[in-house]
Amino acid sequence: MALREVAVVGVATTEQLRSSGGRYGLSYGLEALKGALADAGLEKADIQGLYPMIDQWPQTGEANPGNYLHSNWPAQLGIPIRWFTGAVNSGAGTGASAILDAAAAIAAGYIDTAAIVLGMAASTPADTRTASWTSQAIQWNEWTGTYTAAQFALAARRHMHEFGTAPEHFAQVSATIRNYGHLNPDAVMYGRGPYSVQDVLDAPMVADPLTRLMCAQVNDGGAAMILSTLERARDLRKPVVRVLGGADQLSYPAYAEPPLLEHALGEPFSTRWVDDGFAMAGLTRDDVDVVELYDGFASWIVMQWELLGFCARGEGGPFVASGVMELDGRYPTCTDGGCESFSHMGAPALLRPLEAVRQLRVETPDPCPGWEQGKHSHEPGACRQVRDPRIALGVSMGPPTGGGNFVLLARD
Amino acid sequence: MASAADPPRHRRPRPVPTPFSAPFWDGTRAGELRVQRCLDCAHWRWTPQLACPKCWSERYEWARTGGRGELYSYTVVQRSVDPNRFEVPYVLAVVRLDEGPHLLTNLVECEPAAIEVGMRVAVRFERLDDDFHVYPFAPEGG
Ligand SMILES: [Zn+2]
Repeated sequence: MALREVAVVGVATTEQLRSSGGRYGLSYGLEALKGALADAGLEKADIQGLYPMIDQWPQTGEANPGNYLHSNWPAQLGIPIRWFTGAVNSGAGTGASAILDAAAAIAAGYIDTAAIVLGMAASTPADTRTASWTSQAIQWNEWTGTYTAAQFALAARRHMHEFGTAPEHFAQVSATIRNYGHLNPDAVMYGRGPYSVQDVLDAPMVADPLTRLMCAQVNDGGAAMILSTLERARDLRKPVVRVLGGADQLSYPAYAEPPLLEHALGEPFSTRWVDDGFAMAGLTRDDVDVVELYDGFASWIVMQWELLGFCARGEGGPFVASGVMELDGRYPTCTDGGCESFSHMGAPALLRPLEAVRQLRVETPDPCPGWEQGKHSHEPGACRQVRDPRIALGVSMGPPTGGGNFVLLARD
Repeated sequence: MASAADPPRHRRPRPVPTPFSAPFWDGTRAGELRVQRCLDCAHWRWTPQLACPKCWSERYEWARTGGRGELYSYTVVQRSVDPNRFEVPYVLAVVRLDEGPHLLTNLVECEPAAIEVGMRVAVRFERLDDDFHVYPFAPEGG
């Protein structure tokens, strides 16, 4: 069975916004799916594989993945689905893991075209103070008053203890990322900056050492991506972005296990999966031009650099403080404003690789007058498009309890 | 002033045990912190699992721990998970038991300024009702 090469042929995001007043996440997902098909120049009948994540079916109130039958998707979309999997992988079923799974199915010839669909209205419920689903009604945990930010804070505190990492390092991460979002008219937090390191440190404390500006907010929105064969991609309308490879490793369940720093950094299992992902793509870290990490919390970015082998274990703080994530740095990172500023709809796994695609296509709205024609100043603080990127890294690993996933994408 | 996580300030959710976990909660009610220990390889495990992750044996006991260990990490929570249940500030913590496993818990009876990673801590059972006691930790000997 000869393997085929795979490409991203369509992407779309809906408006990302706080509290949309009762619109279903599914509605956002459908809008994004239509947008991604239009972007690709394909029709719904072209979709054979589906990777969905929605927070609520109107019929049952259940999330998908969840207990409601996956087979409702053909009833909703009016098309048969020939490949439905991936939802059990990490990345909430729609991130880098879904891209890799779809690419595998397309490469092997089971299907020609797959859609990844994400639609969430997470901020619509009444209490938006914390992401309640991550408090996990688990008997060992719930009595403690745990929730997402506090779990990340525990790993962050341990990182500070072991390696001398400082709150200023975390603040640098958030200032850099939020300043990209400040320039992105599609970002929920567009125009809210610019932020200094001190601004981030001075924000109200959520769970020390994490201030509010070191944490992603929760909002509503949709996103979708279409993948197909490289052969077909070259006949379609948009610049071709190839899927070169990547890797996925499940580790401990999100927010159920105590959040140990060792687990966040890949123990007790091997981190060979990271090297394997680069090797299958035929790439090294040096080849990467733009990086889209998963910045649910600033401290987790510091750890991702270490886990992914861009710096040594414990060196993540000084690494980010060196300015590496800036537009004129070695690895411009979270260039749309990330989870912290662009959008965090609860489980926005697809958004990070999707921004990687837009960077490679040079389709990034920002203050540059010629952005729609792909003309950018590449001036830090005024532009967020990386100059002539060829290789992008997209990451969708959310929880602080280990495992992860990433995909390496290339402009054709 | 009350200490950072004075238990009575919280209206904690009651645990929802299963037959599998009942021996653990029986233990806290009896003043024992029990953790699963493999009967074949003696590995202590937390969180609870049906089989030992080391040797896959399903033979285990709910073994009594000394209820002591060191503070692995902590955070002083200023934004409550649920303001109707948890009054801020409260201290979420991970404790490494002397037997090996790490537990998610609260640190109580300790001013935030006095908390240090690595400090010795001991379990302080907190009664929720006749059926349930939870297991925050406090500085050892405090
Ligand atoms: Zn064993």
